[in-house]
Amino acid sequence: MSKINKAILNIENLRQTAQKDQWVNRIHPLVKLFLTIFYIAIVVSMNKYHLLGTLVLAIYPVFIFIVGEVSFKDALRRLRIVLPLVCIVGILNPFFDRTIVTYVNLGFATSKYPDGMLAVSGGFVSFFSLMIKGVLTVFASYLLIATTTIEDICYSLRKIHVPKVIVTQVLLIYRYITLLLSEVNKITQAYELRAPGQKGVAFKAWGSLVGRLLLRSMDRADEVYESMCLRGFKGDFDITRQWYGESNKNTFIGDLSFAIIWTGLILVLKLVPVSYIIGSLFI
Amino acid sequence: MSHIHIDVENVNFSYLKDKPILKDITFQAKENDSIGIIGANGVGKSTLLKLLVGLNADFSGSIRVEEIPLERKTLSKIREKIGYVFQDSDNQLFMTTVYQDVAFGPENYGLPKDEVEKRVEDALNKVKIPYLIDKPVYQLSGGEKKLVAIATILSMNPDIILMDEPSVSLDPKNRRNLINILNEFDHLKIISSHDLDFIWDTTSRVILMSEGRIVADGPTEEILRDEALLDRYGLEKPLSLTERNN
Amino acid sequence: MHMADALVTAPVAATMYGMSGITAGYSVHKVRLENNAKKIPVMGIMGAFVFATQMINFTIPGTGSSGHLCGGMLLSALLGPFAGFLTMIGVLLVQCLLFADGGILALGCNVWNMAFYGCFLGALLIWRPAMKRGATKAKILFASIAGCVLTLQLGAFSVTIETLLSGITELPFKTFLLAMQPIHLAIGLVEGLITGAVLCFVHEARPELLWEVNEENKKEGRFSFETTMIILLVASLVIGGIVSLFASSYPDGLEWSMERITGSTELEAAGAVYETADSIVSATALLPDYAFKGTESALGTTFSGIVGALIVLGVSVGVCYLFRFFKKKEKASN
Repeated sequence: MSKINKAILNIENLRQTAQKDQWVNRIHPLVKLFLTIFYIAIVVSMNKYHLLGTLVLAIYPVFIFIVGEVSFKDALRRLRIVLPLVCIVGILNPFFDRTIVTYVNLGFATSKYPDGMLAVSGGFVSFFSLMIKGVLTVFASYLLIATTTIEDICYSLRKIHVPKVIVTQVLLIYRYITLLLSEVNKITQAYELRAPGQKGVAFKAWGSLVGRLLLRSMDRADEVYESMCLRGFKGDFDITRQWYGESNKNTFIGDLSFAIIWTGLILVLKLVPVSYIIGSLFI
Repeated sequence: MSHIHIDVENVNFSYLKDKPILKDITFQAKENDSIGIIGANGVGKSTLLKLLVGLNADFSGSIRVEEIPLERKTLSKIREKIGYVFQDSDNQLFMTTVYQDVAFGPENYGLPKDEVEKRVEDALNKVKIPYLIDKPVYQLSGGEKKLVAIATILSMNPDIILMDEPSVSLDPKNRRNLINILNEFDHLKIISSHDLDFIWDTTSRVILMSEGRIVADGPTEEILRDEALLDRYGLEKPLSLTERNN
Repeated sequence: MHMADALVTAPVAATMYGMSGITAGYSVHKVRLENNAKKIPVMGIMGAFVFATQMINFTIPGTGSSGHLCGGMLLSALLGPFAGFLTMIGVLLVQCLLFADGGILALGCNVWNMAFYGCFLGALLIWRPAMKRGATKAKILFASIAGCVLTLQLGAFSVTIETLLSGITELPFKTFLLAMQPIHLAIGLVEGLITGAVLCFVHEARPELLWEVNEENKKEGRFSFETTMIILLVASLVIGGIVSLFASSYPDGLEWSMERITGSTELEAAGAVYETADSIVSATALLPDYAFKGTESALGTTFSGIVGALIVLGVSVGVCYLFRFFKKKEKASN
């Protein structure tokens, strides 16, 4: 079951990119978390007919991709999960929304288009802008996790007072994910070796295969708890720390201005038809 | 008599009423003792170790650690003195970075920040891996994890170390390294294992268990060379000794 | 089932974040009341367990396809609804960050659609009553299947509503619903079977791990209020669902039912919910879009727009490379 191996590798890759000592990676995680959510909120709230305006918003991910030296290839790979889904939801738009919103000059006349103008329906425009939104939002969250470790995200979640129980959960899940993935991998491989030609796990083994792993995981949880108790655990993890300092060359002022500049820029792109204004300067 | 010692008297323990796990266990452990608990699988070695740090309650008999009787209300006091190293390091290391994990104990016991930092550095120096301090736990190898797990308990400056099957899944180099580190720790240590070569290299006294009872208690030299005794309880003479004889 | 960011608008996302957030807050409170520190590592590791086992493909007998485990139902059968819900939040957050399964903005929706129904309705309405007089294999299987079907039906229904309210798709309500519900009925059955099989195994091996099994109904009084609330909620959901299904057999689907209920066809004006959403829109970052130049000035604007967009993107790529160049220089000189 190479799917699981891929998932483990994928997690490992993300860890390594997020751990790089780079300017973008050193920016305070709260700043990046806020900007990402703000950016995604702006992208999804663009008018559905506003294809170009949405497209121009790509400058934020472009900036992080280039400055943060994040692999574009890995980001494209992530689209595989999301785009088909978005596509299914939007694909029927051209059939239902036939209002003509714009014309494209083909430059030549045909019998079907005597004046050389191709009519574009609202459905097409909204479909494509939906796809662009899909791409941009996936990129934005990928860029967050590719430049920020999960621990740093958890640290910023604590800063905005997300309850400790939840943050501790996320940290523990992340800590034990690769371990359990490789256990699942071992179990399913052992199963496959003795059940050649089967695509998945057969009905009669459903309960025992997963159940056994479940009991083992429960035992593991018991032991983790014991080990916590032996070291004075009282119910929470403390993950507070100093963000800026010797190991971090970024400054509070710098990160703050990064946040302000990008918030402003994204707002401007949302409020002003930048593409039309600049385009009309040249035409 | 020095202050570091454990006294176990007539201890019986069972999870289910009709299936006793430990029967009438009595022994004394003193400072500078290094004790190996040996026996076949499932004779109650791990249960005994867990009993000593109060992880298994409801035993009968008496356990005293440095004259403090082991009870619910003395647990945290006793656990401060004893470090317990689990067989599976992954269960012991639940924080994300080595630093956080080693600092977890001292922080929970409310030490000031700079003291915590000093403890972490000292502990990592003792197991000779100071360079791993900022590494995420999931990137460590099996041997490194074991050393970090030991560091997590050394950072609490324990008087006593208990170890459950420490040598399992270590390669020869890591194993040798672990043996050296254990031999440098000069307080009381109790190691449970069925790796008799490891016991031979790290302990001076051996307690042999079978079916929940102590069947032999004596110098490592004596017991591990007694082929008949070992054979009777499902064990084999350490390989290193066998080779020497050949 | 995981909703992507692109499928919601900010007001819908914010509303769902709010609803999930309130439930999470209440659950945190409940879990704290239990005052059982052991729950913490158990929750974390079971979260990782659900995450990992959702990657196993289970062959469905008689078909070529495969199904997966239902996390919400499994977790609440082991940990109870509150701890189960919090664990699912962790699982969904990690899934969205690491695997782009569901988006950051849509997390509130996903938590609601998958965790809320599974953990609260599945556990309190089905699991607990079914286990009241002791657990048997048949009862566990029944509860798992019923719980998963209910969870997935309500989840799919919510996905439909959230997508439609976000104005993403032009699909009529009824068509969308008819596409969503039957598929999820099948998925629910399969997930229920798998989850049930696992829980049966646990029941046989270590029954004490299951929630509310062999606990002699000692908490009856304390839960009655919640149960009532939840029954009310489900009733309203079911009625709402039936009404809208009925309504959708009329030409205008959702709009018709909205008109019937509120006397207005304007979706945005339909009742307090939308007013709240509207005020959230104006209060938060959702600024009015500048008008899209439509048909009248079509040619010129469109073309200059395209040119402008290309210029903006081109220039920004250049600037970014320059920026990186200088950052690197700075680093080198340090």
